Amino acid sequence: MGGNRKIVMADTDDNIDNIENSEKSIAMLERGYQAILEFIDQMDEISRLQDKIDITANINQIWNVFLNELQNLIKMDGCALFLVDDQDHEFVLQSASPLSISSVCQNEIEHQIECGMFSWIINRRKPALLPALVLKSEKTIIMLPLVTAKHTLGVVLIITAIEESAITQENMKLLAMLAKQCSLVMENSLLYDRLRKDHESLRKAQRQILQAEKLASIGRLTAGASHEILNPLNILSGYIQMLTLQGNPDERTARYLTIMSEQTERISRIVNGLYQFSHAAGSNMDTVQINALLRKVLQLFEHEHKYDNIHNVMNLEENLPAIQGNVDTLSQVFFIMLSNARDAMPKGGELRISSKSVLSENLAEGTGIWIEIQFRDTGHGIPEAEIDRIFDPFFTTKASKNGTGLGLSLSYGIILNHGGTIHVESQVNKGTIFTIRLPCY
Amino acid sequence: MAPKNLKRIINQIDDLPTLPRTVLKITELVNNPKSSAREISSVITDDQVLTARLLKLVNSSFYGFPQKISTITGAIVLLGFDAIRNLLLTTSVFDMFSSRSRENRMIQESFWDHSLGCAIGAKVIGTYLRYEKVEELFVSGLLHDIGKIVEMLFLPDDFAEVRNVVKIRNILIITAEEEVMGFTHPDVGRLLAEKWNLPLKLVNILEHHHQPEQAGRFIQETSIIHLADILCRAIDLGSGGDRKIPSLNSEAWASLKLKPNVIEPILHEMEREFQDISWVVTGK
Repeated sequence: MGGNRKIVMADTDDNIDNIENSEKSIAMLERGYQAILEFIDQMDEISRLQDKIDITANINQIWNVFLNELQNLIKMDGCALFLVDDQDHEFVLQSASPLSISSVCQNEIEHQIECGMFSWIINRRKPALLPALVLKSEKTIIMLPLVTAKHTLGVVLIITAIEESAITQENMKLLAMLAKQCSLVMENSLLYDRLRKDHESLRKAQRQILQAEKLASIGRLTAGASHEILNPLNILSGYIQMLTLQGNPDERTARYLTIMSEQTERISRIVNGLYQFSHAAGSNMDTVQINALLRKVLQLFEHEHKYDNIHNVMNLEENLPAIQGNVDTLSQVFFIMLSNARDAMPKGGELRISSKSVLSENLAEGTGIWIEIQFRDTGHGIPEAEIDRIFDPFFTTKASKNGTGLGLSLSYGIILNHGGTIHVESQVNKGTIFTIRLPCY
Repeated sequence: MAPKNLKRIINQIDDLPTLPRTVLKITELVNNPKSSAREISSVITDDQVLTARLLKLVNSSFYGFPQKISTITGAIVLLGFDAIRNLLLTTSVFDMFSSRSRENRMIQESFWDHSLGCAIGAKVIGTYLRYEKVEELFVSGLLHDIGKIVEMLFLPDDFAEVRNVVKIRNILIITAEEEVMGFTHPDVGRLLAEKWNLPLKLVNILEHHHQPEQAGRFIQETSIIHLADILCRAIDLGSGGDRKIPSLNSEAWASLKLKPNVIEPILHEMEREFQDISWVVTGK
């Protein structure tokens, strides 16, 4: 550049010198030109990286693609990825290659944070080379901030034996471009992931609202009806009792009266069920020991159905904390669980009943200690098409003699009233698992 | 612009100062992607004064670097190659024009204060916008009125007349330039930037800082300088040679997508940084 102009203005004495100079300049420009072409090629390659990654790829898959590219770009001893944690906004080691450098990298980052270098580099948003604090002095570290216009996603730490003075502008520029591409792809994937989760939880909430709405409308309907039925039923059962007490009915009449009495009892039970269903349970909250209650209900149940060819296995965790609940309604739920399991195993089978305490970290459920009760049968299971409907009122798979179709929706309401959850998993011809979770307050 | 007058500047331009060889050499090196930090640092360290200046600048509050940077190589790999080139440009531009003329000293100093204020303003705005190359904005701010300095030093009579017109009629200096000379300081700035082989972006910023909408793809950078120019007049950092504040170009403002309520904090930040840095750059 400078050389060309000089030729024009030069005195003849200097001509030879100048020609030499400009030849040197031209050679240098030529080399620069070649280098730029090469650089553009590499840029082009990096810009095509995005095509290799699907939007549904997770962070680790994305990272592997970029790690590969980084390794092509610069000779390195190791490389670690730190990502910003969503909750406490700290940089957390996500991946290290080779794995053995994990702790060194962690240590290095901590020291860099402490001396203020780390935040300086993150704020500057550009790759930087810096002397290692923890690593051996002959190593250089390169920090690549992963940032987009709005977010700081993390940082890549590269350990290299290349001396800092041998680093070229090309190295730095390509690293910067790669980091930018990587950030964009990662951000896309993170946003996609978040959207998917939001969508899922919205759908779940929608299902719950739908279920609650169904229950509420059934409740309104039945509250009135059940009252109307119970009145004439009382009159009916009064007369049956009167007939039983009056005189000595013959054997046949006595049998008929017993049947009538039993069946009015049954109507009364169903209608009471409906009534309870329509009224919020949980008015009498008490301290409940789940294990004791389970044992008591099972005892009653076995007594009533001892002829069944079902093997019960209890696996209860001792010293469970007590919960606040309604003994009557909870017994009802357990009873429903047991009778459903029995009905699912007409030829016999095994019913495993277990209880344990779990620590929930799921924010949607609320953190804290929960009691988990499981009923696991080996019955005929529930077809997939029906599993969404089993908590619906009046939905039943049982022969009309046995089922009212209210048991599970009643249970659902009761558990919900206790602040708990009830959940079903089933496989046809393998069995069904009901999982109830109740919070300990 | 009248061709006759433009020609007059071109004729004079060979007499204009050239950038120091070191800076030219560095520019060449930086243009080659294969240049290593070692090559660049060896060119810089050949010049003792430049080395000292550069280290002083990288360790100044401009960068707020948490530790001392003691070597040029260290500075290059930490700050990046472009940043170093821009820093060199910054320091040498100051050298070139200082202490040339005694009579113009006062106005020259207030010009430099204005340029420095604009440079800092550009950097602060750039930081708000998360612009990637704040050093580039800094240099652009510093050089945006270089045309005025050239006029003052190389066309002293014309420039005195311009100043006179400004004083009597209280108009913008750019309007007076147009009337008296037929060309303006952005025109001169562009010519100088081209002569110095400065990057196309800088050439455009210098040429269009009064009409950023004409800067094409450099509209954002040019608008930053445009706004910084106005802001440092508002807080009286130096003087642009007139007593009027150019009006804010609406397209420029729109291109920045800034909220009006950030102007106040930007002004405070500018004043603070101006105090911090003026001694480092000017060596005063």
